Amino acid sequence: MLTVFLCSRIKEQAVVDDLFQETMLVAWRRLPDYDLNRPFGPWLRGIAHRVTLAYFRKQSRLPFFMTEKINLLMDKHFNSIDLQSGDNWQDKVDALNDCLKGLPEKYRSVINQKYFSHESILSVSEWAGISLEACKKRMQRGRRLLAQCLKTKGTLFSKPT
Amino acid sequence: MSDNSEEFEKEFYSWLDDETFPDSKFLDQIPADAEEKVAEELLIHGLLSEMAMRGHSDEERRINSVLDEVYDKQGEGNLVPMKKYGTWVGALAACLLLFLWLFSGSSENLMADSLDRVISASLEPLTRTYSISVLEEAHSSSRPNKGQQEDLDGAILVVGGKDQYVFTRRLESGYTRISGCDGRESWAMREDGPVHVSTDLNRFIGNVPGRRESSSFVNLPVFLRQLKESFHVEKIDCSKEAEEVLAFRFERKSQSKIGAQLIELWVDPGNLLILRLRLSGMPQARGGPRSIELQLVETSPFVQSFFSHDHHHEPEREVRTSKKQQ
Repeated sequence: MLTVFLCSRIKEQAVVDDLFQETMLVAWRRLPDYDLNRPFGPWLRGIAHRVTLAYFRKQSRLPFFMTEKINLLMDKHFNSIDLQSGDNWQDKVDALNDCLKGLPEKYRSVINQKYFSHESILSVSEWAGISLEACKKRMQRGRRLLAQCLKTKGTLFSKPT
Repeated sequence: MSDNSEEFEKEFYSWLDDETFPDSKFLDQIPADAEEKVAEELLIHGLLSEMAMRGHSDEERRINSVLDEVYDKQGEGNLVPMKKYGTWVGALAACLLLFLWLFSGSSENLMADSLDRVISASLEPLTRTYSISVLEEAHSSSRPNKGQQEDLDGAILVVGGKDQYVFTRRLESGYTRISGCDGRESWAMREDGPVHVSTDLNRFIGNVPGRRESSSFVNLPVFLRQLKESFHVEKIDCSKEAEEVLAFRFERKSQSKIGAQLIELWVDPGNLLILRLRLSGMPQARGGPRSIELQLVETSPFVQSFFSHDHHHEPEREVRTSKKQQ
């Protein structure tokens, strides 16, 4: 869960590793202050949020996607994931595997190339034989279909209709 | 859609998908009507990124790294107050340093000297061909893109001078992928596909062993120098080996988290060529084996043209060129 939170704001793997470690250390030190009657996930994400903000400040970088509103919206999804059955995070987000498998090939292939083969978007577009812009659109559409699928399965929060 | 919304959307998807992501003022101004979509896209991006880097050893590495740090902090808390025992501790430390200097300083100097000679030898223009064996596979893989994965076992890495290499390996689909760099441009191709060429020398460096160090094995002198600086080095006792070899063990310093944890190097003491290189405890975040070994199989005079892509495909093969992304 913490990795997902960090990966959604930070692109560099080494920085994600560092912030993960820093967050866990702060949590360790503050464990005596943790209220056992409150859920653990939001508490840990709160720490991660502050650690990430501090990182951006230190680097003199703009803190993207760190607004309260975005945090609240993402928290709804995280809470929904927490409610899924399963012993661990991997079990709770297992539906993502099914959703990926269920994606039409043209979306699944570009997502696989980018995320799981770690190819650049340019390489993916060349590999798929489509323009860079078309590739980006395909990636966006693929992610959106994944979000819809996860909402249908109840993994992600969806507004009652 | 307003201009700002359009700009935001463009920058947002650029942040998500491009490798370069300059700080943009638009990314800090999320349009109110886009917030839900942005939160959703970020989450899916995070989930996919996490899934791609997931692996037992990765978790293990992260937890161990945190535990190391915790023990360090605990140790700090338990330090003996210096005011009280300062003089005694100082005297003891001085004795210890003197002892270390007397009994181990000279051997360390010898080792550093040997390593420097290996580094100097690596500067010689020579083509070195290494075959790669996988010693320990990843414990598990949840990566769904079967077929495109590369099989490092049996791969061949030919190293020339600085940024000159040719790396040939099999894909799970049965095809061969070959990539390389002639020092001016990098290139990659599948045996049945077009040749991708880039002025970015690291563009296709992909799974080349050692690439997770700040410099990869394809740039030997820099690779060796960084091993010397970023790793604890010790000499391996090779007195029982049938042939005379010089061997070093490099253990990553605790603060570093990326790359192989342990690197072992066997060198021919005569010509100082690297005969064998073993990388162990490699990170699993991006898949791949935990431990591999490179074995020198051949050396030959350096020929620049071998490292150019033209040397490895028929003249009529389509070539697609891209510039380095800034």
